Amino acid sequence: MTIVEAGQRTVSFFRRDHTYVFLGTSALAAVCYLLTRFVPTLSSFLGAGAPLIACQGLLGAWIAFSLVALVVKATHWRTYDDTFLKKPGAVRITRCLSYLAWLVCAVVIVDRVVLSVVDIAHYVAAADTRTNLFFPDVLYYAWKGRSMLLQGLGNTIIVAVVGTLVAFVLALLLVFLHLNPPSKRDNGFVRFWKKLGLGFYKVYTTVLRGTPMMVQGSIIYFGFYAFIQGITGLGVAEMNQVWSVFTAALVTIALNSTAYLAETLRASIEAIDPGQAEAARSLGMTNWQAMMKVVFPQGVRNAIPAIGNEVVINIKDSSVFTFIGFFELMYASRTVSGTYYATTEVYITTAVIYLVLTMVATAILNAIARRLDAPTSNGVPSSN
Amino acid sequence: MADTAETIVRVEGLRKSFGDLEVLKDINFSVKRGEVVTIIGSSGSGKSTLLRCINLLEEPDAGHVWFEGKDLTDLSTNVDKLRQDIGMVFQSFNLFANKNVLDNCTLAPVTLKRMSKAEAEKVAMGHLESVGLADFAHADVRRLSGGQRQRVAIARALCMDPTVMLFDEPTSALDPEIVGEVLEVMRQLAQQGMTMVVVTHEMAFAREVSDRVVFMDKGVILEQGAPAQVFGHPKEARTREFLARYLND
Repeated sequence: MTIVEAGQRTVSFFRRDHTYVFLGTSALAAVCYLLTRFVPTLSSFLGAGAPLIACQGLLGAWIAFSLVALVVKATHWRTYDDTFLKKPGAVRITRCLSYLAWLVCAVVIVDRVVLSVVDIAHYVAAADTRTNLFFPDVLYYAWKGRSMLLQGLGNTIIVAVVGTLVAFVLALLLVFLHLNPPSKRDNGFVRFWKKLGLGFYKVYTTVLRGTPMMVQGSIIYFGFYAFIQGITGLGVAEMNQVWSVFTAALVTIALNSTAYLAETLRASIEAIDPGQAEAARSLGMTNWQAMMKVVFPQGVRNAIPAIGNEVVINIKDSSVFTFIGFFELMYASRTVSGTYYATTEVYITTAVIYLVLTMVATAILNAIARRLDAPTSNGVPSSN
Repeated sequence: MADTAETIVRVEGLRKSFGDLEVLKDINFSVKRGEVVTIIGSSGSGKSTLLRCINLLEEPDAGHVWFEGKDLTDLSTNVDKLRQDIGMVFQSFNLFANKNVLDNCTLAPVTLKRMSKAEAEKVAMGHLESVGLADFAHADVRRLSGGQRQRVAIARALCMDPTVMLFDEPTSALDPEIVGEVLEVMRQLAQQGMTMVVVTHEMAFAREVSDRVVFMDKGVILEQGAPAQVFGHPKEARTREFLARYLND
């Protein structure tokens, strides 16, 4: 959108008739009025004098005006359109007044809500002990534990993104095992390998989708640890260089997501109109060429939102690796919680971080999908 | 065409069932070089299945299909190679959705290493011009109307320089108003001497353009012959019944 278009859109917005001018705005005005009475702010710019009283007055006036209008509407239910309130001049004046009310509400919200949060944040950053008030303590522990939480956050992001990318590549390879049906014209040797490949695909996807990622992580981490240590006899410190929890978590996410992505890709490819492959084969292309040049590209492109979903799912599900000692976000928040003997406050911060992470990731992945001309997803997907 | 023309397609003893439903019951059928054969009949008569057996998109349960003397039904035959000389046009066009018009036409010739991209594009532009769509060479196929898509499909099949062209109800999915432009392209192809097997409900086309009309009913070829004979003096009662319904609408 160009600046001119944006300007024109803004102007036409302000000229339009809006619904619920009275109900919506006066509800908000009432809330803001209560904010001025009951929510004090240390660094308020409205103070306690004239500006504050002016705001309260304007809000009160708007609420009174709305009540009058609503009474008029209630008593003139069927003839409302003929009342003085619906005359074009009156409608325009009402709309402008409502914008004024919005403005006052915005000022009050900034003064009371936004500045309150800023105040609390300032206090908490300099404090040494908890405040014993819930919301400030949330900020207090978030501030105190910030380096640990950031480290955990970094690990979560790396493991989820890299793990899913690796899984995508592996899934592309794995899905080929299912897309090569044995045909009458294959000789026995080829048919054996095709059947073996198909069997492997089925076992792999069933096992890795049918067991929890937590269990898989434990098996992979401890299993390989014992295996490598048994062969090489390395000490604990050296083992950590070779096979750390980070590596194990990455491997587990990759293997797990491969199974899900392979099934998604398979479904997406099989959903492509069979006529596409028929047309390619009728031109003399082999089944393989038809798949690679026509069907596969379309199937993969349609599966792109699913791959984005998988990243978001893995961001959340990486939390299961706490239990093998992987220092991701959940582990970090448990550490902070243990250090400061606080539970709910810390976990709320963790939840907020996860939420922001998943929403940002979804937005980025949708933008990428739109660039690649693929369908986009809405909302945040559920876990494995 | 003269009786001395060679037989390009020969079908013998063809049988095909889908589950319990027997769709083709012992079909014997042949097409000579340069012949235009139209297959007509009601839905479910097996016309499309017969056509799709000719290039083995459907594998028959029994019988043989010979193309230029080679048995397609033999398990050791390289069917993909033979399909390069059999062109097919589908009812639902089946243009490659991930490619533009020109790439649709050049994909097969280039992939099958018959020619370089530049040569393939030149050939493709020639065929696109003959169907009247040279200006759309770089268009996205999704922007084309049904009639335009079908003409691109015909050009795409022609780019492989086939010996015979199979048309599976090419105009059944089109607006009545656009049917004409596709039939016109097919008419020109016939006049240029292309061997064609057309499954269609367009009786006027069958009457005016084909050398032979084949009437199928319930999986068998009930009657076949020159259009004047089949349309003018049908021998079988069922043929008369079918044609009466079609020609009196």
